[in-house]
Amino acid sequence: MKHLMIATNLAALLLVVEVIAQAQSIIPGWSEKKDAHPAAVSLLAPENVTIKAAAPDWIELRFHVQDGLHINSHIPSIKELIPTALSTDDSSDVSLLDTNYPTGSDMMLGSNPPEKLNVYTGDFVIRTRIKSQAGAHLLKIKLRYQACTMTACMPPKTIPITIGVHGN
Amino acid sequence: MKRNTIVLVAVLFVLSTLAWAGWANFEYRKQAAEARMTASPEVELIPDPAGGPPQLTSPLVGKAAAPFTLETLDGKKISLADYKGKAVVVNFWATWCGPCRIETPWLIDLRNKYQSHGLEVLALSADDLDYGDKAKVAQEKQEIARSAAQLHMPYPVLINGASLSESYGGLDSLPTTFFIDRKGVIVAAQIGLSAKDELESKMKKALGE
Repeated sequence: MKHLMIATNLAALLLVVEVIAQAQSIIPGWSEKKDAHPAAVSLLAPENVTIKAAAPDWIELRFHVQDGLHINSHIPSIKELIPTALSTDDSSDVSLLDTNYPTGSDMMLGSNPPEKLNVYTGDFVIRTRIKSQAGAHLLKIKLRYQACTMTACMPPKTIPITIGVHGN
Repeated sequence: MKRNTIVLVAVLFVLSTLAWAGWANFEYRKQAAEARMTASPEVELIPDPAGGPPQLTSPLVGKAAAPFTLETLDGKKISLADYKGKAVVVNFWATWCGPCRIETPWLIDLRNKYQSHGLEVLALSADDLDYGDKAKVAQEKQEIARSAAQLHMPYPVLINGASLSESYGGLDSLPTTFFIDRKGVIVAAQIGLSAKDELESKMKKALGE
């Protein structure tokens, strides 16, 4: 009985050590350059949607741009700038039929001469029309964007997005 | 009693293995992070001795500029070594970079002002080039040429600047500019857009004025 109590206490202690060690392994240190360009944009919602099976339906994808950054809208004011755009991943179970992008906000960059940009900042919503068969499926899409601050730009980036779709 | 001992030994063995695996994983990642930190010439914030805000600087300052040879848009090869004895401003830019469009006219003005002092600007495009697809790479080169013409760049425009990313500190943001003196040493560096005056003072530093 005494041995079992000792064993239980040791087990608890070692489990704590293990949990701490595992936690350390998933938190990159600030100097650990795992990705020089962490995603400036993240999907806020939805994680899952339910739509009518075999019939096109619109869903809203809500994104967030990190504070202090902006990304070009779908129709940038300067031709050379990279537009924000969604595309379907080849492995997606669900078809992406149409996409409606929001209008961006105008932003002035510099003053002599000023450059007028059209950008998304904060939260923005892209509406997409999708079609799914009955049952549970995955909508796999990619968002391409290019983020900047007021003084510097990061290279273009494409992030994968997966949303659970249930066709009723 | 014997059964209890066997259970105790088995439990201790399993938990010791788990603890060892976790610790070994942590140590491995710590060492890998330290190795990366040593190898990666990232920028760092240096406190201003005058008490102002810290300045973003590059650990490449004070070191010899990494040699390179790149092609111009019309296929001519240009090396940093071709400018031996001159002060060189190596400006990484891209067609998709908004702040570069603000900075370029300043670079042009200052280059025209100091060219007779022995200064040259090299514009290194960091635009991706899809070398696996001839038609696409031709189109990408055209886009770089169009932007360079639109911005009236009078100095050499070199392509595939992103290939120098490792030797020039990662090029995580654009514009990124290095100011190289007549002996080939980087005397100043800049990430992002700053004031035209600051560009000028760094150019003068490269010229030794």
